Amino acid sequence: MHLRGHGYTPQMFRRRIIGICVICCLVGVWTLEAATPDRLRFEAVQLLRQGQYSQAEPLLENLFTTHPSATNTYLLGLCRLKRWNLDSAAELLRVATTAEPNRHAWLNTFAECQLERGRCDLAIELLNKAIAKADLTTYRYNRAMCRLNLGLIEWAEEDLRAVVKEMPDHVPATIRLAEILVNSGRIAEAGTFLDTLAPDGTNQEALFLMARVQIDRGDTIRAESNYRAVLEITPGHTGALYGLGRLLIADGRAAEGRAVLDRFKTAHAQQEDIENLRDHLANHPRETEVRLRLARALGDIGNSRECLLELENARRSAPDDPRVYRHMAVRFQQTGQTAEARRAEDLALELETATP
Amino acid sequence: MRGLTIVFFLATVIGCAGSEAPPEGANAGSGLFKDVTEGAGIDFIHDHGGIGEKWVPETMSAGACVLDFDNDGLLDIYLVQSGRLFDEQAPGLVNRLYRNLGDWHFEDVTSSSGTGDGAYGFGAIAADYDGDGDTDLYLTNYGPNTLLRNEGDGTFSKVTESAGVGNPLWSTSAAFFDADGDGDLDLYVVNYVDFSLDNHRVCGDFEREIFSYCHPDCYPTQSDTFYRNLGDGTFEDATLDAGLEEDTGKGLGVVVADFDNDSDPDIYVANDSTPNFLWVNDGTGHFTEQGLVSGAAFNDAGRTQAGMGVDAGDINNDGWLDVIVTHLSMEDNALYLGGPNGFSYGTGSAGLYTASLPVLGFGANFFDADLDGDLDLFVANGDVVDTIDLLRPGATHAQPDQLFLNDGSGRFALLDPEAAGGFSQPRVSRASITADLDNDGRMDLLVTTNNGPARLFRNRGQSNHWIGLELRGPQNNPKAIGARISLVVGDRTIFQEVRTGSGYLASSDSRIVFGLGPEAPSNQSITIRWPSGRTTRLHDLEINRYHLIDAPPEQVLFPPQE
Repeated sequence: MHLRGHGYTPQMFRRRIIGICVICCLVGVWTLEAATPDRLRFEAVQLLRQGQYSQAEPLLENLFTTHPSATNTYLLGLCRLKRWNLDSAAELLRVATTAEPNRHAWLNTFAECQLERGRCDLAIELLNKAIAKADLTTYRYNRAMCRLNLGLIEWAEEDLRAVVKEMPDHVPATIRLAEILVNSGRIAEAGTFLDTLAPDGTNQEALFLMARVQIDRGDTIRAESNYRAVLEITPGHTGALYGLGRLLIADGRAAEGRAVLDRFKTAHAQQEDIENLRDHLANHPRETEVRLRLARALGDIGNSRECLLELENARRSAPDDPRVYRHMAVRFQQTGQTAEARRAEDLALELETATP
Repeated sequence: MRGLTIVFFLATVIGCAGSEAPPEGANAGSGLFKDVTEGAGIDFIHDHGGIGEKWVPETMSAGACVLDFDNDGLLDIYLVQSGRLFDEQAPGLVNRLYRNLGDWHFEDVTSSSGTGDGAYGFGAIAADYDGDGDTDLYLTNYGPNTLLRNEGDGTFSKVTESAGVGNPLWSTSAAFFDADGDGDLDLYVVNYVDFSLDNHRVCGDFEREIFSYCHPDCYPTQSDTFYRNLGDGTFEDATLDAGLEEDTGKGLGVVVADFDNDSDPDIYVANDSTPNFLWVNDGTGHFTEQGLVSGAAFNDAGRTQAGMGVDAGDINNDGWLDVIVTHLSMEDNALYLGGPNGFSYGTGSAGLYTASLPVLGFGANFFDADLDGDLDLFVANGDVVDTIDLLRPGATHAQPDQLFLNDGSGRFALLDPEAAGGFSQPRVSRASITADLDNDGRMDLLVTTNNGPARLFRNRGQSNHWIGLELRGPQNNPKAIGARISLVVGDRTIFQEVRTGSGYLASSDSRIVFGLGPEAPSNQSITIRWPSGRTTRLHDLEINRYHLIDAPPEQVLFPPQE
C-alpha cells in the first residue's frame, strides 16, 4: 500500500524489481568478474595448503588461462610439482621465476622440481640464488640433498649443520648429517646429533646409524638392541644383519654370529632377485607392477634410498597409480620424512577415490 | 655452455673432494711427479676398437707391467693393446715392449723381442715362472690368455699351449705366487663375466637415445682359475683341487699377500658388484673363502660394491695388512683395516670417504711416494660409461687421478692434483704401476688410459732417505715372491711383501723400498722372512741404495745316507 501510495502498480513494481535485479546482476557480474581471480586464487591456495592438489589444479588452470600472471603461473607450477607432473611444473616455474626473479620461495620451489627431476646441478644453481636472497633452512636442506646426490659431501655437510643448528628437531637433516659423519669416520660426533633425536622405534635409519655409533662407544649391548630393533621393522635388513652378525662374532658369540650372517647371506641373495627385476626393467621400463616389486624388494633388505629411487621411477611411468604413493608413504615414514609420507598418503587416497 | 657447466662441475667436485684439511706436512709433496711421457719415447696409444656397439670389454682395458727383460738392471715397460674385438685384428694394434735405455729414454723393441701379442688384451704380469733367470710375461685377454717365455736373448716365445695356461675366459688380473710352498710359482687368474656377441646388450636412456655400456649385473659370473706349477715349465688347472672353485664373483683386481700373518700367501679378489673374495690358505695350498666372516667382502653397511682395483699394505704400521678396493663413483673406495680379528671398515677414519665419491677408481697402489716412512696411495680414475655426462649431470668420463699422502697414522689427505704432478688433467685411467725406473729409490708411476695414451710420471721427490732391497730367492722363485721384509727404525716397524701381479690388470716393481724420512737413522735392522720360512737379519745397511740379498741356502734336515 505504501508503494501504491507512491503511485506504483503491481506491474510497475514487478518491472521495477526485475529492473533492479538486472542491474544487481550486472553489477554483481561486474563485481564477480572483478573478484573471481582473487577468490579463485584464495580457494586454490587453500586447497594447496590442505594438500587437495587434484581439486586445486583445475582452478589454477582456469586462472592461468583467463588471468595469466607470474603468480598464477607459479601456483599452477607448484600444484603440478605436488602432483609429480614434473616436466610441466618445471616449464611453468621457469616462466614464473624468469618473470619475478627475486621471489626466493619460487626459486626454491623450482629447485625442488629440478631435484625431483634428477637435475641436481640445475637445482643447486636455483638454491644458491634463493639462499643469497634469504638463507632459510628449507632451502639449505634442499641444497644439501642436491649436494649429496652429486657426491659433494663436505658442502652437503655444511648445509645440514646449518639446518640442524636452526632446527634441532629436523629429523631427516639430522639423520643425513649423522650418516655423513659416520661414513667419514667421525662417529662420536654423529652420536651427539643422533642423541638429540626423540626416540622413535619406527625410524630404522636412525636406529641403524645409532647402532654403529654405539659400537664406536663400546656399548655393544645397546648396539645389539638397536640392530635387533631394525630387524623387527625390516627382518631382511642386510645392513642390520651384517652389523649384528659381525658384532656377535666380535663379542665371542661366534655360533650365533655365524647364524645371523647366514641370514644375511640369504637376505643378500635376494639381491639376485633384485638384479633379475632390474634386468627385466631394463627392457621393459614402463612395467609399473615390476617396478613396484623391485622397490618392495629393495625396501625388504633395508635399502631405503634405492627403494625410493625406484618408486620415483614408478611414479614417472604411472603418475596416477595410487599404489605407487602408498609405497612411497611407507618408505618416507621409515626414513623419518613424515611430511612427505603424509603427502604421498593423501595423494594415494585422492587417486583411489577418483578411480572407479 | 653445457660443456662449460660440466667442466665447472668437475672442478667443483674435485675442489670439494680435496678441501679436507691435509695432515701436517702433506704439502711437502707438492710437485712430486712430472709427466715425462713425451720425452721418454713412450708413444703407446690404447685403442679399444669400439664401433659404437657398446661392447663391455671396450671400456675395461688396458693393463701394463714392468720387467727387466734383458737383465740390464733397468726396468722395461710392457703395455697391453686391445684393438678389434670381433673382427680381424688391425695391423699394428699389438702389445708393446719398451726397453729402458736409461736417462728416461725408452726404445720400442716389440718386433725384435716378439712380444707383440695381438689378442684383445687386458692385463700383463711379469715373473720368472720357469726359474731360468729371466722374466717371462703372462697376458690376460678376452679369449685365450698368452704366456710368453723369455728365451734369455732378448726374445720371447709363445708357450701358452705347452704350458697349459691358456684360460679361454675373459680374464682381467692375475698373480704368480707359491701357493703350496713347493718352491715354484703358481698362477691365479681372475675372470670377469661371460660376455659374448650372443648375450651382448646395450643400456642407457632409450627415450633420449643415449646409449651406454651395461652394468656387469647383465652378464653371468665366471669362476677364477688356479694353475699349479708342475715344476717342469708346465701347469695344471687345480682350481677345484685347491678349493678355489667359486662362481659367484665378477673379478677384476687381485692381490696375493699374507693377510692373517700365518706365513703363507692368501688371495684377495676385488669383485665387481659381487662380494669380494678372501681366499685363506691353510699352508698346503688349499684355500677357503672367508671374505664375509673376515669383514672384507662387503662395505660397512653389508652392501657389495663395484670392486675394480685392489692393493694391500700396512698403512698404519700395526703389523697387519690393510686392503684398498676402488669402486664406482658415488661408492666410496673401501679401505679394510686388517687386525687379529679380521678386517674393519676404515674408509672414513682414514679420510678417504669424501674424495672417493665423485670419481670412479681403477688402479690402486700403496707405496711410499715421498719416502717419509709410510705408505701413500695412488688411485687411477675414469668412468666406464663414455656418455656419463649426458646420463648423469655433473659426472664426467675423464677424471683426474688422485694421490693421497699418509700422515703416518694411516690417515690420508688428497694432494692437490696439479701440485702432485699433472694429475689435474682428467683422463680415463685404468691400470697404474709403481716402479723405480731410474733406480733412484723413488717409485715412479705408469698409468694407462682406456682408448688413449699411456703416461709416465717421474717421481721428483725431495731428499728423503731410503733403503732398497732386491731379493734373490731359490731357483724356482728367483724374485722371492712372497717374502716379507720388516724394517725396524727406532720404535717403528714397517713391513712390505714381495709380490708380482697386483692392482688392476698390472704388475709393479717387485723390489722393496723403505722410506726413511729426512734424517738418516742412526741404526736400523731388517728381517727377511723368505717364502721357505727361513729368516735373514741385516743391520745398519747403507742407505740410499739398493741391496741385493740372497736367500739362505736351503737347509737339508735329513741328508741322504751314503
